[in-house]
Amino acid sequence: MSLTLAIDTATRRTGIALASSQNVIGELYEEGATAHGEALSRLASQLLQGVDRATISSVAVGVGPGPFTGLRVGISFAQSFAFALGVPVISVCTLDVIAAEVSCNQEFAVATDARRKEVYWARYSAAGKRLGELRVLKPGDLTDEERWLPTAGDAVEIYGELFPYLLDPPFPSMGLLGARASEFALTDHAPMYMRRPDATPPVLA
Amino acid sequence: MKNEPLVLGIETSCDETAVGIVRGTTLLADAIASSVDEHARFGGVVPEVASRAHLEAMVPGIERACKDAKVSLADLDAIAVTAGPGLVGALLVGTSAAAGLAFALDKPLYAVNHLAAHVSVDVLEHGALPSPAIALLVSGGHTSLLRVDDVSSHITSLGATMDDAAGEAFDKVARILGLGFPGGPAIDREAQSGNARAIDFPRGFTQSRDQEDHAFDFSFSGLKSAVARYLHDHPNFHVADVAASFQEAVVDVLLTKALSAAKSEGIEHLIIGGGVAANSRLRLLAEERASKVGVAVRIPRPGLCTDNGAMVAALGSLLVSAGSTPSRPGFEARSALPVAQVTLA
Ligand SMILES: [Zn+2]
Repeated sequence: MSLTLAIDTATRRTGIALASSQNVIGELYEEGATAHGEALSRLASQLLQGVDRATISSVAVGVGPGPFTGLRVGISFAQSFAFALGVPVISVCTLDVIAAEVSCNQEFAVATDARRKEVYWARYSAAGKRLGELRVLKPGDLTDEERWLPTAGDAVEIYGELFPYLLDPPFPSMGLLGARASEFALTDHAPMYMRRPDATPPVLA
Repeated sequence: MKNEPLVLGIETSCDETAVGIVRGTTLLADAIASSVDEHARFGGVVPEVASRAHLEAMVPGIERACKDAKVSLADLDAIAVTAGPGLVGALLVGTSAAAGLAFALDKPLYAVNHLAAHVSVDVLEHGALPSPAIALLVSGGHTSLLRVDDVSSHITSLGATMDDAAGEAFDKVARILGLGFPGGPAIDREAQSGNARAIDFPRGFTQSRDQEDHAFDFSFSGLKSAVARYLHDHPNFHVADVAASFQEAVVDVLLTKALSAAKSEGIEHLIIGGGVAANSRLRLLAEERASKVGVAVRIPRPGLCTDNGAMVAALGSLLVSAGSTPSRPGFEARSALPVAQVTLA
């Protein structure tokens, strides 16, 4: 059997799954805006109980966009896990995985919570193909045309009044990612921070 | 010796991404990548910059350590990782990588205390640790005086800095002297040609009134202000003399307190670690002053005093040998982990 371990920590729902292209063996989630690392370890220990590691042939991980610390936790875990087994890492865009589950017969958008009163935002074709750039912005800075697109992702729950047309799902499905990882593969494995570091020099009193 | 535990240790509490491998008390690999140059222009470590650099350097570090040690990950008996104290965002890159390795390999994971690891590293250099021992840990992040009964389970804090860490004082004084970051090596170098008795800088918490409340605590902020005041009052100051006199004040207070702790606890062994333990004046004076009072000093070589992965692996190996319980999945990395907590349950 050839399984993919799928991981995402780019939203406030930490998720992990084990899946083949045919079926999902297991899929676990834990919600919480912080402590992704602790959640991921707890979920992994549950999911991997009794699993022969030799059946895992790739590790797929969401590289964002997402808040700095949580995002790195998933990527760091995924990269070391894959390195230890000698299997490839498949890096994917978290918003693309959300978009893949949307059913909509017109162009739509995905918006996830970026904290600091901002959202990560991207536009998709009806077929689920990303159009244009990923952006991080205040929802109020979207044009009216952009806001009125049907929108999936957890930001629509937080900024409900700004996104009139809500779509499911709010979070990426790890089962779906595990089963179809290669469809989402990015060529770049770097985390999509979308923001520069907060490089405030330490206070020299 | 094949039956000694083979342990990989990961350290990311500050700006070094470090992976070490030991077998028992033998050092096999010590791979370190530092983001110090990226922080130099800020005059101190920027947490988010450090965390980004850790992620980039992590897997290459693991790969290099295995290559240097000529072992494969599958041969490991355990993984150890620093879980605090340190910068939380930085720690999390290490703990997540360690969890990834441990889950992939199905090996036990030990989440350990950074300060206990600084003490443990000396087993790689000088063999089994004397017990009990006083440990003086001095770096940019910590200044601690400890009583170590058993480094794998029983450490007591005797004192710590109430304001700046010793290494931080070096950084700040180097900055006002225009010597750059990090300050420790720069001041050490400059002080070589200076007169350590030229200026009588204050020694924090050494007055008789401090003996009750702060006998083994440290304070370096008054010293730093005194240096700034001196430079202001003496525009034609001699850099080397200021550096040497400042360094003498720091080293004097560190050793005075460490040796008086040894005396009051009735302990004859002193272990010194942390980045500031690489300071040449501290190393020299420690030997001189300890031997006068019958205390045996152990200081690892400078490369093992600064943050490294081998120290974490060394502590991991001691924990495996002691039969300690591995950490449960979901342990929490903590920026202010107390030293009494050698491992996270
Ligand atoms: Zn340290």
